[in-house]
Amino acid sequence: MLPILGLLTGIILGLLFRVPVPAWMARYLGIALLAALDSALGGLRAGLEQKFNEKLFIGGFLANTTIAGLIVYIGDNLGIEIYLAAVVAFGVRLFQNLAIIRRHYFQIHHWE
Amino acid sequence: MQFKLGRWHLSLAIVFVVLGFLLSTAFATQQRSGERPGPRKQNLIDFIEKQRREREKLGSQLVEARKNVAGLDSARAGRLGVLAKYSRELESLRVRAGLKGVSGRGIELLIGDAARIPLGADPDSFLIHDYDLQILINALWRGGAEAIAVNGERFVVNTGIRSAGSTILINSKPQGGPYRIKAIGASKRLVRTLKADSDAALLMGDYAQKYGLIVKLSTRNKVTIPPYKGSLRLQLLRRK
Repeated sequence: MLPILGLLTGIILGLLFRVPVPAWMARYLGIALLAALDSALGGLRAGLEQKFNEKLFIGGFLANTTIAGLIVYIGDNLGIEIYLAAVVAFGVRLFQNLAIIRRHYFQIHHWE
Repeated sequence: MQFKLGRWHLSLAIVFVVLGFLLSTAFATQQRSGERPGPRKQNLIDFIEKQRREREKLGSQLVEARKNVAGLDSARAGRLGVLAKYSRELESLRVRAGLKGVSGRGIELLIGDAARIPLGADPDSFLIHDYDLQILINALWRGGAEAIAVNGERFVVNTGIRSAGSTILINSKPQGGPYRIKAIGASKRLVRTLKADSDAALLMGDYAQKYGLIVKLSTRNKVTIPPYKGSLRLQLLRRK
């Protein structure tokens, strides 16, 4: 319940504050969003697998977003769209995590 | 167990807060950048179209009003007798100033962009530019043209030909090709001057052939040129 509450809080905060994002930052925002989504789902999965490690989770979240941002920056400066690599990597992981989470819920509720 | 579950829920929740925040911010940004330009651009286009129609309307009203004024003037002068001379002078000045539609012997010259531009070629060579029209108009004046209009825009004292983006402005109104140049004057002399002018001859001859520009020159027994549809109001000019 708490994560869902957190998600709602975040959405409301974002809508309330309406942080203006300049156009050049839109891509960074997108990548940060993907990284956050990936970490969140990864954490959920780890939690369901009973091997959730707080330090690993928070550390991974921060590292993922930072490195993703860095990749976008480097790509922008080199003229190579490396950020696509981050998008693909996060995207693939996202679906994997989703699949595993789904399976876990199936097991928990004995739907099989 | 309950406590442990709560703990990992807590840190997960913190990340979810960030996730939610990013989500709504990204959503708001996308709404802002994705939605606004469309209607804004359309609004501007509509606005320009509206203003253009308005100007056309006002232009024809102006022409109508000028016609009425001229009619009243001559009617009045005819009654008064003494003013008839001045009235005639005024009338001829109006004709010279371009405020009255005129007709007479002359030429008609249609000039336009090439129908197609080959890939990789410099498109500038295949298009008619402001300076091309300037060359032709100047040659026509030199040939003794008494009145000139391009696409129905009468040339008067303050008429200019200039380019603005991809269009050419004549009397500050955007014109699209092909450009129909009408000139009243001694047609043979006009044609001769056009051919004698090296730039005009090059444009209408070699360039037209090489790049496929539209060029149609014909002499006419009767060319009709409309009056100037703009304002001639002078605000800062003072008699010396």
